[in-house]
Amino acid sequence: MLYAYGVVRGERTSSLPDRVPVMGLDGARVQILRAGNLGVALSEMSAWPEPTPQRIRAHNSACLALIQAGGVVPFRFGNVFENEQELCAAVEAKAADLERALERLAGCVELTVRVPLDPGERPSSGTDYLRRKKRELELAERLRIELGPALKDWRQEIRHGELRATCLVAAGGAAELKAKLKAFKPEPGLTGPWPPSSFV
Amino acid sequence: MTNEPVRQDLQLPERINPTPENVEQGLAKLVLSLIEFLRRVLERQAVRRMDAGDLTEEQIERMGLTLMRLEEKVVELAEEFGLSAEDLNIDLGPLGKLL
Repeated sequence: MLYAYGVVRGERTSSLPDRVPVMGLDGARVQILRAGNLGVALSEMSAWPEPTPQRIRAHNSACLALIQAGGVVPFRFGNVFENEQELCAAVEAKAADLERALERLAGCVELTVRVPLDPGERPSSGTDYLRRKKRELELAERLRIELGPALKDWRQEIRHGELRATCLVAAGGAAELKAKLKAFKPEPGLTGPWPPSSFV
Repeated sequence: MTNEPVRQDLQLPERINPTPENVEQGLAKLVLSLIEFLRRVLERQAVRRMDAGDLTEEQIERMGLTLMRLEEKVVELAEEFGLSAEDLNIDLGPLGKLL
């Protein structure tokens, strides 16, 4: 059974394992399988890997190491295939999309910014509701402008009492983003870097 | 968590694929997604018009109340059909997510 971490450039097929050892789930060494013009980062598993915090961390760490080693289109946790033929067929069927994604995501990581919103109570009137929405939209815009130069892409949503912004930044730009957030009010929380799965 | 292998990243984007068992939920997901999308567009437009001074106080109140109740109704209906907020953010393939 093959566990797939993501897609890399095909020319890295032979060089990656020797030059940049990457460890995956359960300490398995990540290998690269050629699939057309692309390569797939994978490791062998004896059974379906139950998702545990350790395994999810190992999956993310492997993807981040692959970013450092030249770029990856990361898969989310849990892509398992019976054999090489099945895996190659699946990758080659989406080759054009994956190649474009590789170019777009090269050297990038994902960071999540969470800004708490005023929880308040249910709006007391229609006017109160619209004014609250206005404040939320203004906050989102202020955050986007503040982080603007550091962002390569950006998704945002307001849900469960917080503004959640998913940011695509250059791997080296995470520190700049953190510095910019220090002065932002209300004080945001920042998690990451993660593999840029939200932008695949 | 399922113990079945999943390949969500190498499959085509999710399609609306109703079966006799889930036809109501599938239809509700599609309809509520579109309503939520339109509601958000209207909400932004209402905020812009309020800022521009195009609306009387009465119009702001009525518009805000309508949008607030619509938001509550979408959440209520989604829960009835076992759908989460994320379920209403349908994947449009190359165009990305709806919301």
